[in-house]
Amino acid sequence: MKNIFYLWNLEWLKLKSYRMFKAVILLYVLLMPAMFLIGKAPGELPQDAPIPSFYSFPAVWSTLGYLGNWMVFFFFGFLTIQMVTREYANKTFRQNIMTGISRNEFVLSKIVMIFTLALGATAYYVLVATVFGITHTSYIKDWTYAFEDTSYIYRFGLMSFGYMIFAMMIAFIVRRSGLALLAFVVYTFFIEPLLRYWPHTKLFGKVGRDYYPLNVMEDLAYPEFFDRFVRVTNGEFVQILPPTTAIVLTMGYTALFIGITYWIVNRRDL
Amino acid sequence: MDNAVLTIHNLSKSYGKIQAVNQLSLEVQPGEIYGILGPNGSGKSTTLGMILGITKPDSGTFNWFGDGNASENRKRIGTLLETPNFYPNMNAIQNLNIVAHLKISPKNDFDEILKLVNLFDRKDSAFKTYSLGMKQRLAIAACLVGDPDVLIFDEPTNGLDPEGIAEVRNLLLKIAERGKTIIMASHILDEVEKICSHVMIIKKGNLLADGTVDGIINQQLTIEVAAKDQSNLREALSSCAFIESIEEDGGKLLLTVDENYSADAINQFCFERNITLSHLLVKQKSLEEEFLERTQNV
Repeated sequence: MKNIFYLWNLEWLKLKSYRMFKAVILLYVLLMPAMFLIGKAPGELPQDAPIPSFYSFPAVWSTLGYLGNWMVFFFFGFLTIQMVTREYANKTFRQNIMTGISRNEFVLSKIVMIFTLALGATAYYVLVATVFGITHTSYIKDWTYAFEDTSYIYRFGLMSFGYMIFAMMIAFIVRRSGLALLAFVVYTFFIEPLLRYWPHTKLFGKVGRDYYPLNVMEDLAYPEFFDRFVRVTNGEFVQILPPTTAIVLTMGYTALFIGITYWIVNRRDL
Repeated sequence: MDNAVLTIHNLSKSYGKIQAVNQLSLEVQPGEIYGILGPNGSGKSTTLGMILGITKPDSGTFNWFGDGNASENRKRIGTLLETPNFYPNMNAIQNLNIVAHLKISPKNDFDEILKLVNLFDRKDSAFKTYSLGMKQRLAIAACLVGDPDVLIFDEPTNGLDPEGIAEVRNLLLKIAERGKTIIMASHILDEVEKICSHVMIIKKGNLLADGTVDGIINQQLTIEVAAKDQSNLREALSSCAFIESIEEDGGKLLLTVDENYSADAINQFCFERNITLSHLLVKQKSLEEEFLERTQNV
């Protein structure tokens, strides 16, 4: 435990004066509530909508969670990539090892900080959701109702951690910041969907098609209202994994990505 | 020996077909200033990379402080390998703070260290604003954080201007006076000769020679002589028993002399044969000549 705190401190010394870190925190803190409010622009939802509002309990957990999903992916994903690749660019990874920590400690320092960032991102999500929920729910008959689906909180945290661990693995493999950012985005939005809907579907059909890592992580925080709308119109197309499946698979993938990172880092010369 | 600071045993590393380091063994004792000398690409940096945990050896072992290759041992070593590596947006103090944290050195007098390397006035400027010489000096300052027992410098004056070279060299001598063990790789012989007590010469990853600097340099004297009648001189000297070889070099003769005799013996020998020397010069081989001789024959 002492060692964990030591490694956290090491990463904190590196981050606290890092401008990108400050920018990401500021963007997340300001843009999460701001972007959420933009959703009000079209006006009130129609009478027959499946939910009365995006902002009232309990829908606020799901809609803000989905917005946060994107924000965490881009902001914290990019930050993680920079946290790792700048150590290669400045040769400070080399220097850190020569100065006296092991490669495993170096990787662990990143994981510990990623865990902290995931915790912070989740705490802020809970704060914003609670404030919106309270101010937009006209009548709260029972507070347990407002917080009945708190599994969203754990899922949001796990999703954040998973995204950042995936970004970390990419960064340790690719080592260059621009290429790593490209790989992170291109894999998520192009390669994985391509694999799922083309070779996988041809070979195995729908079986296991939704179990790819980034799809699994994305499904941890999915907008339920959207899901309901789409199910009505085209129930076949959008398939959201059941929460338990997504949780278990994300944990598995995250462990795998951490394992791959350790393996790669210990194998290569610096 | 039991108290060796560093023992390397049969260390090897190859990159594809290129054998960068081949079965290298050495031992560094406390207080030595150990020079690793070799031309560019001879495996100096690869060797240092291996003993510092950043390059994986193919085979062989190394042992720091009799305690193996654990990363903890490196906390007792200050290292400057090839380039100064720091976080560019952080200033000197912030960067040294990270070094101190890595070394688990809670109490530090950064001001004293920065004054020693002549960077105190710029301690609050970002590393990226430094000149190359300043960067190099900060790297030396970082080596001193935590007062390590051993210091490793790889080409410490590389890329510096003459003033910077002199500054860094003086700094190294100052540090050496503090009784630290220093391991220094260089291809600049003059540097090694001026600073080091022990030296090893490597080429293409092979050990060519090692020992004290004085021991490595051939003790045999070379004596340069000339006279008005050169052929007469040569003829006379060729009959001299303690002269081992005679070579002609420009208008002069280069003599290799038995180590028990020296210039006065030659002078007397010629004088007795009515030859007056117009030129007499005793030359000791420099490390440079020794080095060139040894590395060219490989």
